Amino acid sequence: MIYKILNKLDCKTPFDQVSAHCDIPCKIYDPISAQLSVLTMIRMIDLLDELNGSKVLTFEQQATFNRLVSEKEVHGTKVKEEIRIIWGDYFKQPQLEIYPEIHQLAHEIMLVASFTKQHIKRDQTLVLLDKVNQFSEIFWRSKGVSVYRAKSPYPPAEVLVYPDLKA
Amino acid sequence: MLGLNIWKVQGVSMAPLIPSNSFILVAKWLVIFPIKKGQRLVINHPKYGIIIKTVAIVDKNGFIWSRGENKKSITVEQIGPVDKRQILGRVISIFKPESD
Repeated sequence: MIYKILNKLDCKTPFDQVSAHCDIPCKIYDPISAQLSVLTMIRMIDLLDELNGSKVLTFEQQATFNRLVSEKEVHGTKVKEEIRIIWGDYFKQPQLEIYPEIHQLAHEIMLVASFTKQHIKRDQTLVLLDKVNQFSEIFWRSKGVSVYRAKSPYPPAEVLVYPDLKA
Repeated sequence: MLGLNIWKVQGVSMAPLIPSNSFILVAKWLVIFPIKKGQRLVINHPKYGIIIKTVAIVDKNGFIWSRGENKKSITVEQIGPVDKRQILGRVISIFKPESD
């Protein structure tokens, strides 16, 4: 009775919400977020490189510079977070026995991602992309899904590993 | 009003005691009294936002460690210690969806 009244009140004037926060093993994992984050980092570096042509940055360009650097670093952190979650939550004993190299690879991704956050180096960010692609390939293979490589149909048009879900 | 607020609960970490979509009546002024193990609190958490949890322990420094009511909840360690100033109130009544 009281619940019904509260519920009707809530429909008209919603009460504040409080979260009973949980960490449900939802089993939804996909390395595409990490891959897209690396692409974003590369794109930010390309845009920074365009700014690099100017001897003196205008006020507007300085703001753009700050935004580009910030986005590059935010996405560097995202790469690390996404990879850590898949490595820590998805990969378990059965997968680790078949793909023991995942530990080394995940660790290398952490190191290269940190480096590419600290510097504006496109070649190293491509190394990061290659490693994240390798990670993605192992992830999909561990699920019995074959993969293919294709250029992303948007800048910076670098090669990504995609799952062949129709196969 | 009278230091009382109604909140709607979203999420399953407090189920079955407080299922998702329940309403809770919360008294802010009750936090002037000592916080004790087992009390249900609304906490303004720096990472998780406004959450509802059960007090697991109050440590010797006065920090409050809290937990969910089932295995799906984030752990006591993940929630971490909170200061009394982060407590928005104590739950005094629960209105569950199935209580009709």
